Amino acid sequence: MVIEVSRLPYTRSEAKAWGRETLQGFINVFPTPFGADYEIDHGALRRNLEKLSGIGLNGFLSGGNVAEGWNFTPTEWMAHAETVADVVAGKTPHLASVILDPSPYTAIEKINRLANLGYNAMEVITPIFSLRHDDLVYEYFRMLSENTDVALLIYNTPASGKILSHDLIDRISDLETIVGMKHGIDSVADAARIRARVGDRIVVSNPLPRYWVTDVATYGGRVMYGGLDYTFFGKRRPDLLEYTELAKAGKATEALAIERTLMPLIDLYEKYLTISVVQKGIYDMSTAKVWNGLLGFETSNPRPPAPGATQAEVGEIGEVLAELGVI
Amino acid sequence: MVAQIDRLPYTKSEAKAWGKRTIVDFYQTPLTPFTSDYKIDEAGIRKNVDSFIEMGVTGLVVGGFIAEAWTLTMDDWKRYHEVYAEAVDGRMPLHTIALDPSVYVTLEKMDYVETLGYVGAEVINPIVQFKTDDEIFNWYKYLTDHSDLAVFLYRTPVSGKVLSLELIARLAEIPTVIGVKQGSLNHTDSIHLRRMVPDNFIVSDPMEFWFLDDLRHGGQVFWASFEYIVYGKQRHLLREYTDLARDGQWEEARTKWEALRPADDLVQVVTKAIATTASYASVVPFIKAWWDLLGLEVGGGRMLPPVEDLPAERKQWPAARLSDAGII
Repeated sequence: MVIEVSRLPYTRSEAKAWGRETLQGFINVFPTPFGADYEIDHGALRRNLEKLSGIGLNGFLSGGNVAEGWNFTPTEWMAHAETVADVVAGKTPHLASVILDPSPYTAIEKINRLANLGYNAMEVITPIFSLRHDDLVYEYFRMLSENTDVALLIYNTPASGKILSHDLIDRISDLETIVGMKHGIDSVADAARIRARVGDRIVVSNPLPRYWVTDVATYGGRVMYGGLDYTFFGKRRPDLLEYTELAKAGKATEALAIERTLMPLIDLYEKYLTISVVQKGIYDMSTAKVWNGLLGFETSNPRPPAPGATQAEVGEIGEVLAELGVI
Repeated sequence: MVAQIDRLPYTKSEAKAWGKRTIVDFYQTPLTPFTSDYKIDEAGIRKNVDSFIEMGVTGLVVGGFIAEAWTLTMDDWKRYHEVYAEAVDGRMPLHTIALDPSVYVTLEKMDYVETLGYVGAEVINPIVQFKTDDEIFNWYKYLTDHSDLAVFLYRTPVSGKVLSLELIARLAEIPTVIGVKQGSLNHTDSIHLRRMVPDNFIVSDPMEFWFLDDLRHGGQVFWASFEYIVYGKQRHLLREYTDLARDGQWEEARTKWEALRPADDLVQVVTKAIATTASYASVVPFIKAWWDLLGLEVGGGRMLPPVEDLPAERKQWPAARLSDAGII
C-alpha cells in the first residue's frame, strides 16, 4: 500500500542537511503511562507531552523501547503515535518514532503513516532476526530508504542482538535519506571513531550522559539522541545546559567541574537505565517509570509481564533525586 | 479477548492429554508461494494443501520463519492464515507459529487463528527484552493465562536464547503448554528433557536423522519440520520405519532408516546454514527450488525482498542430486 506523504519539511536530497540542522541538543524519549487495566492512558500521555513541550527539548522520539512500543499491538502503536503527533507535531523541529520491526513491509507501512501525521524522522533498529548478515541488513535499510522519503536514523544497540560493524555503517550512511545514528554502545571511543569515518554524511550520537562533555568538547558530539537525560535531570537541567555550552566552547575543564557535582545523578542514571541496555540488551523500564513519576509526570508500572520496581529501588531513586535537588 | 472456547477440541485442563493423544506422526511447516507482485499466492497455497493431504502429511504448522511470515504485515499475516483455514477446511489440524516478543501481539494472533479453527500455536520465547528464566516463565504464564490455545515451545538458537531444560520443565507444568520443538541440534537434550517433564508433555526433535532413535526414547511426532515433504518419492521410507519402530521391529526399521540417508544428507547440505547463521533467510530459497522440482507451487522460487531469489543457474542445483537420491 502506497501512502501519500506530503508533510515532510525536506526533499530526499535535502534530508541529510535537514538532519544536520535539527539533530542537536537534547532529543528525548518518554515513557508511556498505562491505566489500571494496562491500556495506554492517552489522557495522561497527552498531559505529560504538554508538560515536556515546555522544558526546552530539541525534539521527541516516540514509540520505541522506553515507550514499551515493542509491547504494543499494531493498533495500539498507531494510536500512541497519533496522540503524540496531536500534541507535538509542528511544534518541535524534530519528531521521530522508532521502528523495531524486522519486517521491512511493516516498517515501511508504519513510516509512511507516521509521516502523514507530522513525524519527520524515524529511528530504525537492526532487524532482530532473519536479516542478520551484513548484506541483508544493508538491503533492509536500503529498502526502507528507497520506499519512504522520511529521514532515517540507524539505531545501533546490543538490544538488537547485533552490533553493526563500521564497514556496514559506512555503507548504510551512503543511502540518501540516512541522516544519523544513535550509537548505543558503551564506548565514547568507538563513537568517535565511527564519527570520524561517516560524520561527513550522518550525525552520530552517543546517548550516554557519562561521556557527554568529552564527546562534545573533544570528538564533535552535538546531540544526545533518544535518551531520557535532559528530562531526567529535572531541576538540574540548567546545569546540564551550562556545562554543555562550556563543552561546546572547548572549555572542557570548566564543564567537567560542573558535571562532577552531578556525578551521583549520572551514576544513578547509568545504574537504572543504561547498564541493563548495554550489558544485557534489555530495556528495564520499572525504575525509569518511578523516576518519571517523581519528576511530576503521570506514570505507571511497566506493562505485564514486565515487573515493577522494588520498594528499595523506589526509595533509593527518591533519596538521590531529592538530595541532588533534581526534584 | 479470549476467543470462543467451544471451537477447541479440548479444555485447558485437557490440553496436554489431547496433545499426547492426537499430535503424532508428521506435522510439516510449508513454504509460501508469492505472486510476481509479491502478494501471497492464494491459489498456490490451496493447490499445495491438496498435495500435502495426498502425500499423507498429518498436520500443518504454518506462519513461521520458513514461510516468510515473519516479514508479513499484520493484515497479510491474518489473510495468510485465513487462506490455510479455507484450504484445509477441516481435513487436517492446523497450528500457527508466533514469533513476536510482545505478548499482546502474540495474544492477538492466537485469538485470531483460534476463531479460524486452528488448534494450537508454536510460540518462540521473546527475542528481545525477556532473557532470564523467570522473565521468560512469566511471559509464557501471562500468555497462557490469557489464551486457551495449546502452546508448543520453540527451543532454538534463532531466538538468541536457548531455553534451559530446567525452564522447559517449569513451563511444562502449565496446563496448556503441551510440548516443545527441541531445536538445539543436540539429540541428547531431547532424551534428557523427556525424563524431566510430565509423561503427557511432547518433546519433538525436529531432525529426521534422530527420529528413529527418538521413537525408541518416547518420541511420537516429527513436529514442525519440512523433511517429510521434501523426501518426495522416498517419504514412504520415513513412514515405514516409523510404523516398524512402533511395532518394535527395530532392526527392520533401521534398514529403512539407512535407505533414507542419501535424502537426509541433501537436507543437511541445505540446512547447515540455519545452524551457522541462526537464520533461515539463506536456506528458504534452496528449499523453494527443491519444492519446485517436487511439483509444488513456489511462485517461481520468488522470495520476499530483501531476501534474494536463488539465481537461475542455481535453481536446478538440486535436480541431479534429488534424482540420484531417488527423491524425484
